[in-house]
Amino acid sequence: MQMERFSYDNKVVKWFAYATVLWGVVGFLAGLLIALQLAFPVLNFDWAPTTFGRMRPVHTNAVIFAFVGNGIFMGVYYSLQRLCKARMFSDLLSKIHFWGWQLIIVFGALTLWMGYTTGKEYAELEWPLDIAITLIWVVFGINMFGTILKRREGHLYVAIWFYIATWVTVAMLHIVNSFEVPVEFLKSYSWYAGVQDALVQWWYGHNAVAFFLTTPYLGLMYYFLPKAAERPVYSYRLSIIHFWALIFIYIWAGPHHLLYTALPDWAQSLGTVFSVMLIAPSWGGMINGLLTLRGAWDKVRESVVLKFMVVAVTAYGMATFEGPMLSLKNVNAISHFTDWTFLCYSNVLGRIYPKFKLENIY
Amino acid sequence: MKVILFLMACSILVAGGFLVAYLWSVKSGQYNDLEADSFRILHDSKPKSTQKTTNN
Amino acid sequence: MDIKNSSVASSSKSANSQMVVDCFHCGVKTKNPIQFANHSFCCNGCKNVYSILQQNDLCQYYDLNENPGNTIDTNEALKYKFNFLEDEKLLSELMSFKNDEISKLNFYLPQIHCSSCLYLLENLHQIHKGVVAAQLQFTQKELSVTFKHKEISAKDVAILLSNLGYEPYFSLGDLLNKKQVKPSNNKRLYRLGVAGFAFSNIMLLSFPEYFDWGKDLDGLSIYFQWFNLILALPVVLYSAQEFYSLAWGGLKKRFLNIDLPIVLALFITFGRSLYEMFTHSGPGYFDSLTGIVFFMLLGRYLQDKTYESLSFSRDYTSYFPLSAHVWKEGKEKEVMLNDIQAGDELVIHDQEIIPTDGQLADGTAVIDYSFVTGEARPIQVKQGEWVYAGGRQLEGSIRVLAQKSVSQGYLVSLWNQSNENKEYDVPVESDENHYIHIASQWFTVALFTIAIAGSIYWAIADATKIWHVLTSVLIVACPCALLLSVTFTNGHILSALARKGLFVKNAKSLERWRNVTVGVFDKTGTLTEMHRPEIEYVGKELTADHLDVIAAVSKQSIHPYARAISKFLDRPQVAIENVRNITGKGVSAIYDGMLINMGSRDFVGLSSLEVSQFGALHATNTDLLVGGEVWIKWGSVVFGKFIVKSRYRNNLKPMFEKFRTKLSLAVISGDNDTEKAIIEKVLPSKVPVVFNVKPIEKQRYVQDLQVNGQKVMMVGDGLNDAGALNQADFSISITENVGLFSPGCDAIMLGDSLPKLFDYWRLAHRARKIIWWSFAISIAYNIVGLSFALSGQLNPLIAAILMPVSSITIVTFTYLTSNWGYWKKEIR
Repeated sequence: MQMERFSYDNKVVKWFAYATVLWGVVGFLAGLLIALQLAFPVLNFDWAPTTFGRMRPVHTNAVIFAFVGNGIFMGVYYSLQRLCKARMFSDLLSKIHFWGWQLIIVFGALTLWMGYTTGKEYAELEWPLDIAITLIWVVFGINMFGTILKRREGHLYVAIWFYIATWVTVAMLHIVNSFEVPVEFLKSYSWYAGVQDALVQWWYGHNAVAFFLTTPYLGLMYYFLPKAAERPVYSYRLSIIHFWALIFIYIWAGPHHLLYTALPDWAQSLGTVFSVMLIAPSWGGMINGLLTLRGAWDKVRESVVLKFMVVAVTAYGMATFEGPMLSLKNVNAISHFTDWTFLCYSNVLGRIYPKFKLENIY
Repeated sequence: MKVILFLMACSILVAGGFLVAYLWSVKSGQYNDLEADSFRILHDSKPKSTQKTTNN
Repeated sequence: MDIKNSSVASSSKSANSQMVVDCFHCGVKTKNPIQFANHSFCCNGCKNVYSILQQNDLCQYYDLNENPGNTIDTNEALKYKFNFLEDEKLLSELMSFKNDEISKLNFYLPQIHCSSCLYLLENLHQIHKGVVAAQLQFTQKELSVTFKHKEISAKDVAILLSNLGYEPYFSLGDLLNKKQVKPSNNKRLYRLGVAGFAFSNIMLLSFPEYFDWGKDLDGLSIYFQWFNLILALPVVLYSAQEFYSLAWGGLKKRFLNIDLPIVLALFITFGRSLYEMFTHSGPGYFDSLTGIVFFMLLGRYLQDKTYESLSFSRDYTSYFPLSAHVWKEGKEKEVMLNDIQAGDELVIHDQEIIPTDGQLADGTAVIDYSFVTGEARPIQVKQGEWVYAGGRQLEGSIRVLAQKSVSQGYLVSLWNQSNENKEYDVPVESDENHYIHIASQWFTVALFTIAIAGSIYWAIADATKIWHVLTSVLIVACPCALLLSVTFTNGHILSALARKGLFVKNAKSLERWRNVTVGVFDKTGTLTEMHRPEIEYVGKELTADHLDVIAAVSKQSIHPYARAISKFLDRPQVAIENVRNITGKGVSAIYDGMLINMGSRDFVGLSSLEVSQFGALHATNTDLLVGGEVWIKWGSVVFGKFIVKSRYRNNLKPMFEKFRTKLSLAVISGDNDTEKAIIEKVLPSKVPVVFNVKPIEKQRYVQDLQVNGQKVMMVGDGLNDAGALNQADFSISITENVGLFSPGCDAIMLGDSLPKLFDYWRLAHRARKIIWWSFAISIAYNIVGLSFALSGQLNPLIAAILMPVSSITIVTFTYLTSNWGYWKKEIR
């Protein structure tokens, strides 16, 4: 039996960090622009690429896939190695992952500016890029699972489970939603038609929120919060129950985006019920996170990182409350098709992710 | 609306996969010592030379 | 001049100019610290551990917690203490894995207490190259070490651990009960996981049906039902197996136990669901089906966990050491206990336990039999006299000629004998189970009758309604509340009791407890505190400094009086040197150049003038510390004496008074009757107190009561009560910490909780009331539900919902009532 020497790959983590910051700035500027355009249409500048219609998806893609995405990768590459006590499975794959993802972002932005779009929210990119995303995601998966398999620490910390869930579900969501028939180089038609397409799209949409925006960050929270506070999670058992409860039933809430549209009553009711039920696992996470800090509030006072985390976790709780409330039909009758919906998202994204990113970079 | 069945099937499949993962976790003793597991992440993140064990 | 207690001079450090610092490693206060690497240490042991850690870059140990170390007892005995690990045969039994190069061995380390321990121990491989890896199971305090046995031996691993402050503890129990992991618990977790998964998904899938019952849901409902069926199958076939085997087991014995109606309900629900599905007449009840299985498994799991959370060894042989030294062919050899035979010459070292009865062959034996007789005073034994299993040799080595092999030792035979008398099997059934069994049998019969009657009626009146009514009747009638209420109530009560210091074995014991008619109490250690005697001090004024030193010196002695004094004084530890322990006589040490003596008159060396100066309160035996005097001599000056009296626990009388209204009481004791007057103050009037009772006689006392038709509750401690505790219908063993045990008792109680015993008993009774009330609620549900079902008005959907709803109601009710009483009135 040999003695092995190994070290963690921190370079790729740094790269992802820089990318996160960069795209964050870009994404927020875009967001600022379109917000102003709502009030001052003159800011459309009469030029196709800067019109609201094109800028909006640029903004959403930038903040979700570029900013949040790179943030996820940064956090996962950092914590996974340490949790597994192993270096990433393949340095080459790490590099491919990083550069591939950035290229997708750049080309994505370009195509959106040029007006190419599928019209499906959060899945606007056309089919060549969809394929590219799939490939890079597979690369990420190989790298991640490879690392897990060659780990030196037997126990799989709960954060790792969240990462696994993220990978599996996003893969499924992306592939199913992107079934499309290519017609030209940058044009395709969805495999689904009409209302069916809408259902699939929103099944994808909501679950993407869940599994791209929530689960990875829950995983990261369970790692970084205890580390920052220098104490273990308040109730590890709760976090495990929280994870399994979440993953067993989280897929059901997609339909809530279609309330009062053409979707039949019963599916909407279904979605509503789930949305409300999902408060429980989400809040389980929030409570667990905040309770971890009990007795350590003095540390929070002194640490910027912890301050951000506290705000982020709380905001997460509020947003996951707001979501289900909006899914209740009555409430939704008022807010649907208004700007309130945008606020919900902005609230979530604007608060949580910058906090996590910044603290990581610190 | 038949597509909802397709979506449900996908979701159940994935969820079922996780059920299997759950059963594996319990079986391989992942949850036998929750206290130690939550503390372990707090230890040093600097790797030193370590030796590989065979019985994991 | 006379000082009554020790809170004399509190915190003045005026007399000393030196600073008192905390040892960086273990936190002990020291006046003469050893400096090393800019830190202070109390002794070389601690300093050495620090330097080991520092050399191996493990100083995060000190960052994780303050003063995380254990004070090192530099113990010469380490040299041979782990010799038994050199025995190949023994090792092969202890190893969990072995091949040519590596071995894996589990060590139990009771000193583990914090995350620093975890950190250090899991980095053991950094300290010694021969160690490959170490994995800690924190809750069990077990360290699994994988090592290359050619580079380091098992014995050396043990020594390494000891030098770091984590001395492993081995017991006979380790050898005999090796595999303590219960696979059955895992099985239930699987079943629970599958049931939970299926239940939650089915429930969610079924909601569209509920909201739009009647509509065909765009032709999709059949697919939804198929999904439900597929999800429900594993639950029916796998998760519910527990119920099937229990019901079948009952049937084989011609007994309709509670699981039978459950199984019946499950089959009916499943059958009806299948029927509805294939005839497109309804959505089926897969959600209720899986829900019931899930909730019932959950209830049983929670109950088991409560008891499991106490992991102590029920096997009293774990008190005995793993192996013993035997003198063979001119050498000392390690021999496993089971291999010891009559005629072997045992070598028993300082502080080791005598494994079997024998005769003292050589050496001076001073034996502590506190586990056997409850008496703290050590007994001196002369050559040729008998020594008994369970005693602890207090100083030096002795040779004992074993008269029996270990399994036939005096105590073990007592234990075995008493075990034969215990009869806790099915024939003698306690009330509750009895009623449930009757009830469930009649329930099933009644149910069938009603169902058949209803079907006949409707066959005549309106044939289309038959199946509707029949299945509704069978479904809505829920017997599950019967089991649930018992299971959950007992679970809640058991955990409530455990939280407050009484750990009851199981629900059956609880039931037996309710039926007791007489309460028998042991005296020593039960009614009296062995660990907080009343201590008086007579003599010169003592400064804080003096007290520190006295406390430190007394800690060095294992005599209970000395221990009591040190605990009573509760001073921060100071470092002293040259400790000499003369068992039964006293202890001496040197501090700051002065010789400190603590002990009996003779040991300390007093003249009769000095004795009378401090008042002779008792006529004392000068050989032993009988009469409870511990004299202090500092240098050449006699300071005074501590008088140690064992104290009765507080608040006993009110407890006895309350018990008296319901039970007869009695106290039996192995002591003589010098304390008769005192004990009578603690008891209500006319409670019989019997003295000079030997262990066998205690058991007979209980037996006699039982022969007269009484149900006996026995409260005692120590292995000398073992027989009586076994004999009693419900027995409680008093311990001062949960780590000791008594064989076959029904409950273990912390000594401090004894005054609350009556309240606990009342809580146990409350359980019965709660159970009956929940039966009542369940019956109410059934009556209401059945009437609706029979009249054809009950929508089977509602029937199916009522099932889990009634279960949930019962569970909530039992939870609230069990804990409400607990919160409010009874036990503070």
